[in-house]
Amino acid sequence: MRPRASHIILAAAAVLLILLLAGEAVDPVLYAAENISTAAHADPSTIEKRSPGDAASVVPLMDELLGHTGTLALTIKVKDYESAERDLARYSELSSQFDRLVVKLDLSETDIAEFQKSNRQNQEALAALLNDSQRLDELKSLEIEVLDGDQRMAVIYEGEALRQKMRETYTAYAKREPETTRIATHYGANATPYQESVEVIAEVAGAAEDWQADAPRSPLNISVTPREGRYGENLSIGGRYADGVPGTPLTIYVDSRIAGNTTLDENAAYAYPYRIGRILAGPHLVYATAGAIFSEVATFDVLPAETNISLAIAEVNRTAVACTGNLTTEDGRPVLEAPVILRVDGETLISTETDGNGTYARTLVLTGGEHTIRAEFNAAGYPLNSSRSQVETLQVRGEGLSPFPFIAAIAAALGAGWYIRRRGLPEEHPVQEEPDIEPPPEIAETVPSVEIEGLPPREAATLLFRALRERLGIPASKTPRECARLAPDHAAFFERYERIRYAGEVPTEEELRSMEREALGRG
Amino acid sequence: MAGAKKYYAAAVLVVWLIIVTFFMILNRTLDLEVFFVLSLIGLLVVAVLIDGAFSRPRYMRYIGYLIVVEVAIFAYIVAEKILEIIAA
Repeated sequence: MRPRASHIILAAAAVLLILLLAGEAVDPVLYAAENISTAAHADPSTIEKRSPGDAASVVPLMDELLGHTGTLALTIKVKDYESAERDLARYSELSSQFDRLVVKLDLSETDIAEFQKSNRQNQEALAALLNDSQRLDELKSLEIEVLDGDQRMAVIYEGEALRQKMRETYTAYAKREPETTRIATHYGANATPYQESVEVIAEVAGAAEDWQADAPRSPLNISVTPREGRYGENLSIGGRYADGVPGTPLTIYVDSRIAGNTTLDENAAYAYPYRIGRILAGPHLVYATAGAIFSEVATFDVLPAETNISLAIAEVNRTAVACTGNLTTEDGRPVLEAPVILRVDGETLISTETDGNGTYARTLVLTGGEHTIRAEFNAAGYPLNSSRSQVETLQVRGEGLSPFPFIAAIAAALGAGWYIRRRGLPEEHPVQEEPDIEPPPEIAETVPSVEIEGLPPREAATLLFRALRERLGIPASKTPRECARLAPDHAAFFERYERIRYAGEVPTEEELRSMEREALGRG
Repeated sequence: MAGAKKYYAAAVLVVWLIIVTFFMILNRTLDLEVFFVLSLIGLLVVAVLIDGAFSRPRYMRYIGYLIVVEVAIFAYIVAEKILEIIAA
């Protein structure tokens, strides 16, 4: 192959390679172990080292945790609160150990993490049950002592609320049992004490139900219709006040918090429309007061409902996008003033809120490139289930290229070009300026007298070099190489002398004669 | 000998780039920017080492052009990084 053809092929290959690499220049990280695009690129070295010792201690710890639930439930049942406090402290300590282990072994994506979550909830449930049992016992003794009407009602309300809470605690505790038992059995842990604890807690909650404070019959009665509802529905809280005067103000309490005010009508009846809003799913207590008179306690249930969240994306400008959507329940009711989270690229969270129509809107400023956005509703505090929108993928154009890097690049290129050119100059100029600096050697030629007889050959050569330099009128500051450049006709002489002087070569007698002839111009 | 110098230089540069690639793979990161900067450093070192004191072969002039282009790209990268830091 001819050299020209091979050069063309080489140049074409180089250009092709540069073009391929230029395509990746926008995102120069071609590969990083931590940031893999597919499972095939997974790098085992990025997985943290696990200690086999730690892994071996997971199941015994699970065993111990399950065992503690049984012991703790029993001590609560027999009202040995001192031992129960101790057991609870130990249980909390073990739970913390287990939490650390789950994080350390990176088990957050496994069912061990599910067990951890259940265990945490069980711990909270048992702590609540212990407190509630203690408080209920106190109320029992208080009820015997208190005879005053108002205080007695307060005791009754609190007792009712506690019973309600204990029922809920038990229901939630029992609900977790099948899944927790399944995981425990799967790993070979003994779930029997835990299963027994569920039965014991049922007995504790049942025992609380047996205690009913004998409240005096109130003249202010109350009822809720319907007895259950879902988010956004209206319940009617109403009743009659037997001795009431029309226009008497009444305060309605839901779960001991003021829900609203109303007044008695001419028939001594009242009605208050209660809209189910941000309230937990489950049973709730409601009562009314008219001055010092308390009504009886009525209950209603709030049922959980599914939600739907939508997401629409519209471009505002090169870097901003508007995210809008609606949050509604399954039957189309808007969820009002609820927090919505926009998850950008799976990690960045941006909060917003729905308005009075269940609509949210938020403008996001994003960097150029492809992004994914998903809207999420985490129904904490609502009688609603969480929901997520579809993941929307969008391409943000990003800001135009800044001129600064280009200016910097051009300036650097000019600077580098100037520097490289400047470095080359000193070598070229002397040759060009040679006629100006130095007079022609022929004009300045004088014949010096040199006596080299009896001198060592190298010293003799030095004398001859000086003589020739002098004869040519070259300044004494010039080196042999400079002399060779200034007087190309005698370049061979100067180069030979350079080797004698710097390379340590010794001239022969014949060479010295030849040099002498040239130096003295006798040749 | 003098003619072979440029081939030695090219070989040294290729070896340097292979070493850079090897260590980048060993570090489990392939970053074009880092690769580019290290290749520029290699080119500058090679250019200084093969540059003669009294003569200037044609290939040195071409290397000069290449250095100018690479320095411009390098300046662009540096300016972009500065803008990123300012924006952050």
